[in-house]
Amino acid sequence: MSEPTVAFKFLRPGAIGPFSGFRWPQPEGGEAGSWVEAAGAGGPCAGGVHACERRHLPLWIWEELWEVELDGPLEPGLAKLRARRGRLLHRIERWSPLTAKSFAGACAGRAAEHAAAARPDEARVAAGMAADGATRANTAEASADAYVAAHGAAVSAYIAAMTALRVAGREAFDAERAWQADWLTAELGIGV
Amino acid sequence: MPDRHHTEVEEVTCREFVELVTDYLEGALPDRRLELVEQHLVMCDWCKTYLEQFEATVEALPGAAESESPSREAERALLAGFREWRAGG
Repeated sequence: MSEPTVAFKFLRPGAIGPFSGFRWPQPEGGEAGSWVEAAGAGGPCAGGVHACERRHLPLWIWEELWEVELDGPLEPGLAKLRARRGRLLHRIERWSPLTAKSFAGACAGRAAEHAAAARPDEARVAAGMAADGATRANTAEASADAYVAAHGAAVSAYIAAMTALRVAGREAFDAERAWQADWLTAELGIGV
Repeated sequence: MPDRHHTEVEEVTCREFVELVTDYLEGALPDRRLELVEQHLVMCDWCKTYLEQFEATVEALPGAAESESPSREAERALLAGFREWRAGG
């Protein structure tokens, strides 16, 4: 018998799955949302209900972030969890366009730091990557659109990780993604 | 050594996504590949737009609005046609 697991799920506005288009039942009156069971092939959650651990948050960024409860045996993927059923516990309100913009800016700064540490033969490309990260973060900052902010955050985080990879290899890539997860955890107050 | 480190991280590129789009829409991708495709879609507006246009084309096929089963058949026909076109290209 497995214990329910608390994990995280980024969704589109209105608690809609970004890939499935499935509208998740939202919590009401202090009660968690209804359980969503994994459907068969072609269903809204074909193959399982998906969520992620906090360490993988930077890979799945969209406009809304929810804490979810998963039930049944967990199958870990590359960067997500799959379960037989799941439900929304509550929305993490601190994930907002403002937070997304701050995160994008922080990641752009990280990309610049990585680029500054590049060897001379890598410096030009790394500087270009960091400049792209800064452009994406600035675009997010200048927009009032929640999607642009979230997308800018996702892309800036990716660029920072790829700049680290370019400059210092896989361990630096993993360390950058871990730093990003820690940043989000601290900023959003979502604990371990 | 311009791409020395890039091969060390598993990911799907835009070019690969175009190759995989039919399998993605049919739910035929293996779990690992599906996850990499979805990670790519989080970040890539170009591929998101491509996917939306592809889905819109499928939806616009004759018979798509009348009932569900013909649209599924039409979808398969389009996907098969796309595969043939891709193989020929």
